[in-house]
Formats: sequence, structure tokens, C-alpha cells
Amino acid sequence: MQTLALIGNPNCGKTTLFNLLTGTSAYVGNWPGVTVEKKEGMTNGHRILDLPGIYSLSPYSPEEKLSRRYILDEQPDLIIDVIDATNLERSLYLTNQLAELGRPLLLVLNMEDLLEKEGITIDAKLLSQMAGAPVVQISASKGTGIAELQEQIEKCLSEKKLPLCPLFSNFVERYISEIIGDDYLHQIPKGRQMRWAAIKLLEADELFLSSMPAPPPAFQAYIERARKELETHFGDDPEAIIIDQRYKVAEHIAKDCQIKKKTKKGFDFDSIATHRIAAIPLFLAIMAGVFYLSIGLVGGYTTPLLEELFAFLGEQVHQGADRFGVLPLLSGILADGIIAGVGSVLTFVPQLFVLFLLLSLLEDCGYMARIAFIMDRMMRTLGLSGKSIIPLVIGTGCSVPAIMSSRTIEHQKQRELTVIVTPFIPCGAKMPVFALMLTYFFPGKWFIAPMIYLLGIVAVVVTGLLARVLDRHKETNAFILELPRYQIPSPRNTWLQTRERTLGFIQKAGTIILLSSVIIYLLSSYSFTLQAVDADQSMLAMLGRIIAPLFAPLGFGFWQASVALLTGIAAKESIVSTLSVTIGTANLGTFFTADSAISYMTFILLSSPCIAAISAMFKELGSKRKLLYAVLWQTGFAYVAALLVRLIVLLAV
Amino acid sequence: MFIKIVANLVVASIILALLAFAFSLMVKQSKEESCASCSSKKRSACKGCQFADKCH
Repeated sequence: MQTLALIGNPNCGKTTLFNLLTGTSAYVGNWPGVTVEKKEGMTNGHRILDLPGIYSLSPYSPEEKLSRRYILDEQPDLIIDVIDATNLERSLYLTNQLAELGRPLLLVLNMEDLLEKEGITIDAKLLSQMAGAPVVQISASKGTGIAELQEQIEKCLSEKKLPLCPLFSNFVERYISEIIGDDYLHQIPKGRQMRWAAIKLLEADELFLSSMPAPPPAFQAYIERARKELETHFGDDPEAIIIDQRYKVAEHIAKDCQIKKKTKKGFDFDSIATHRIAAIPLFLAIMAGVFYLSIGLVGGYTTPLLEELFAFLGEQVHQGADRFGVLPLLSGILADGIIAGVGSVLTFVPQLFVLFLLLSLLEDCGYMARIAFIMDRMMRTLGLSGKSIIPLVIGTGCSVPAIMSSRTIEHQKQRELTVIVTPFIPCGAKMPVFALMLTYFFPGKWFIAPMIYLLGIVAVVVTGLLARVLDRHKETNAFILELPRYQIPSPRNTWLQTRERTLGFIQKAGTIILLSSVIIYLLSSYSFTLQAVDADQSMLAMLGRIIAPLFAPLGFGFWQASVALLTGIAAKESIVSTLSVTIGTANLGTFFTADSAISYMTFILLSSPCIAAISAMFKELGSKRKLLYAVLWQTGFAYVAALLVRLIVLLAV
Repeated sequence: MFIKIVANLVVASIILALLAFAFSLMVKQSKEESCASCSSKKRSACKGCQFADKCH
């Protein structure tokens, strides 16, 4: 079995191509940094790997380290360099580095469908001659050119032809030749190329040097002299000189191989979408629109219908059970536990489907990356890493992958802070709770929904500012966030994402929600002496009353709300099913008021996340003590914020 | 009497089957280190949360 490695710049379409070649449905996002670990699949009997998007093989970031280590150590039989055809020059910089690795190389010009629109023509034949590697033009999003690509893959694997190495200026080449001629280079690890090793020695690449024995003094002196002479000649350090040389080669090839027509620039949406002041109101307006369409319009029609359907179903089960003399315990578990609990969560499926669909569209068209861009500025001000925005954007779906994606942040304190603030961003599981409260207490007031996101962002800002005050080290690091171009969302990507998220939600209703509904029903129907009692005298009520007084200042000091919060630790959707089993969604108004509903939503939004996310936090923080502080901070912050929000609402009304 | 016993057995079996299904799915998810938000279909590249980018 032969191995293929997909590599290329971030957001050049590697994962889309990976999905096409393997027939899988890995997550694809129209913004950089989606792939942070390698993915594996099979195509035509070959093993294929999707590596994280990188700009170079210089090991600055964990993604670059991973990709470089993989290519050097695992020696794939073919490197498939995915090139964004509309960004040829920048992509060729990485191609130049890949060519130095001495593995067969296949250049894939992706996004050929956009070339005409951008006024670009590429001479693929000339590019192939100049790079010394075959070139295939495809459009991964449209699925064109794939048969030709597969044909070329087979050809490359059988021919095993190596690409041409880019040549630098004579002054640099002279030193490279001298170094290659030295015996010391014979000690390079297996699979490394002499020329590549010589360049690494000139660059004084720490990762490479650590893999080599100490050089003889004479050779070491020669390297130092060569570096000094290069510095004097070019007026820069050797690493920067090599970067410059590679860019010159890339510039030269791109200039010869492509013709760019000047296109007229029309209205630039980014002038608003990334504007310092206008971006936030625009984001809130877009989110308000998203919530209006999903929760307001679709939810307004479907939720009452589905509620009636499940109520009817429960009633029929009770009537049937009475007719056939089924024990009240069994009919109660089925109708008041399972159907009421699971049904209360399933009533939100249509509106969540629309919500996930709209969020996928926003992501795939490139708008989410703009949100990341405007938040990136804020992150830096707060002393967080620029990369912290990636977990925060992923967190709108689920906090677990979001927390885990924070591992690409190099600095420990920034990483830990990101792990702590990520659950403040409302995840999909919290949406049914917000939808429930908004539907019952604020019908028609859809401006409240985007405020939930704003509140989450405020919590991130406050935590960041506090951490900045307390942290004396104030680490900063560079992070390049490239804005992807706007595109018409791919129906396949959008459908896959929406379907996966919706099915995941339904699956949760069939597992954890079902189990917790049965447990909650039993606990709310029996006393500690196992006698069937009213809910108010039940075990659950007794347990709930122990913690309920804590929440009295927040306006929801009754046991049903407290117990729902506890079950929310298992999964946030459980809050809805628990309220449904213990109160009944139709009776919410007798327990909650507008101010306590808002306060309840705030507490759920900001308090510690579900057990799966807490376990992810533990994995990333790596210490029980830190986890305890994180959970205490989140819950304490949620308590104070809920109290303040309630006071503001009470004063305003 | 017979109908009563059968009806109770049917309802009890439905409840047990649902609970067994939910429990087995949760065990499967936990074995895959899933966050319970991932689907575990055959052709899905998602194998739980081992890699953040594979999780939805």
C-alpha cells in the first residue's frame, strides 16, 4: 500500500479534496486553521493523509511542525501539493520547500473555476516544466478534474519522478555546494536530502541541528563564516535571506506562468464587515436575522405543532395504558418521562436545523472568518493569543472540539485562558434552553437572541482583562489570519455540516436525554421511602430544595430550576427535558417571570459547561487544581452576571 | 387478566428496549471518546474527539 500526503496553504481546499477522494465527510470550513491534526483515509487502495494547512515548512507553529515531521519521517510515496490557483505566487513558496524534500511531487491547481472570474490565466504546461512536477487543474468544490487527478496520481506513483529543486542566486548557491561537499553531510538522518540539509545548516534550523551530531570544529567555523558573509552581502540574517530567495523563485515562476487581467473593483463588503466600528453592529444584525428566521419564524410555527403532537402522543399512551390496566409506574415512565422529556427536546429540531443551516452558510460563504478577524484585534488587546478566535468560533457549535482546538496556541497561559473562556460562547446544546425561554417570555423580541452572543463575548473580554491585570508576563505572539474570499456556499458542505449537527442533536435526545428523563421522572414521582407521592414531596424536590436557596437572589430559587441546572451538567439540553418533566413547558409562566427567565438564561450561558466539555477542559489544562479554579470562576462569574442582568431588567421595567 | 399482563410486559419491554438502546449508544460513544455530539456512521470521518477538527 502506498501513501499519499495532501499538503498546502490554509484554506486552499485540501479537506474538500480529501472528502472527494475518500468519500468521507470530514469537517470543512471556509476559514484557515480548520485542520489541526492529520486525517487519514483510503483512495483507490492507497492511504491518504490530509495534513494541516501551512504556509511554510519552517517549524514556527505546531501545524508546521506536524506537517514537516510527518513528511520527513514518514516519507510519503507522493506529496500532493494543493495550490490555490488564484494565489499562485504565495502557494509556490511552499512548493519550493516541498521540492527540496526529495519526494515525488504532484501539483494540484485547485479552484480553477474561480480563475476566469478573477481574470487569471495559468499556463499549466509551463508551470509543470518549471517546477519539474506534473500539474493537474481541478475544482474540489465543483468536483471537476478528479478523474484526471486520480489518473495522474497512479502515473506519479509508478514513475516516482522527483521535482526540480529551486535554484537561488549564485552567491547563496556557492555556499550550498560547498556544504554539500563536506563529509559531515553524510551523517544526516535517513531520507533527508543533502541540499535540504545544507540549507538548514545555513539557516541554523534548531530542529534540524538537534537531530545531528555536533559538527567538527573546522566545519562549524566554515558554517559560521558562510553565515557572516551572507549577512554582510545581503544585509539580513541567513534565515531571512533564504526566505527571500525562495520568494524570488516563486515570484519568477508565477510571473512566467500566469497572466492577470486587471478587474474592476466594485463595492467591497469587507469595508463594513471588518470595519472597526461597523463590524460589531453588522454581526449582531446578522445574528438577529439568523435567530429571527430559525427561532422566530420556523420555531414559531413548528414548536407549538410538535408540542401538541408529543402531548397528544403522551395522552394516547395514558389512555391506552388505563384501558389495558398497565401499571401507573410503567405508563408514567413512558408518557411523562420518555415522551415528555425527549419530546420537549425534539420539538426544537426544525428550528435548530434552520439555525445550523444558516450558521453553516455564514461559515462557508466566508463571513465567519470576518468575525474571527474583528475578534482577533480584541484578543490581542486582551492579552489572548490571536489563535484564541478559532476555539471561540468553533465553540458556537460545540465546546468540546473548541476547547481541544486551543492546543495549537503555543503559550501555556494564553492556551489555559482560552480553555477557560471558550465555554462562555453559546454552544448548540444551550440553544433549546434559550429558544424555550424566548418563546414563552419574549415572543417577537428577537433582538434578545443576539444579545446572548454579545453577553458571551463580554464575559470573554472581562475574563481576559482580569487575567491581563494579574499576569505579569504578558506574552504576545504573531498570528496571521488570512481572510478567505467570499464564495457561494457549497451545497454539499453546507448539507453535510447541517445534517451532522442535527443528527448529533437527535442522537443526544435518544441517549442522554432519554436516560436522564427516566431518572428525573422516577426521582420526581417517589419519596425516599419509595412511596408514590406528588412531585413536591419527591426525592428530587428534597434534593433540589437543598441548593435552591442559593438561586433565590437570581429569581429562580425553586427546586425544579435548580434540579434542571444539575441535570444540565450531563448535557445542557437536559435542562429543557427536566423542566418539561418537573414543571411542564406550558406551566413555565407560573414559576418564571421575565426577569428570572433572563437571569436563568444568563446563568446557563456562563456557568461551567457540560461534563464532556469539563473533561475536555481537564485534558487541556492538565491539572485538577486548575480545572477547579476554572469551573469556580465560570460558575461564580455566571452567578454575578445573572444577578446584575436581573437587577438591570428589574430597574428597566 | 391475561391482557393486563401482556400489556404491562409490552410497555415494560418498550421502556427496556429504549433504555438499552440509549445506554449501548452512549457506551459506543464513550469508547470512541466522543463528545456525544458526533454521529458514528460508517462513512463518517468523525471518530469522536480524538482530533478536534473531526468533531462537529
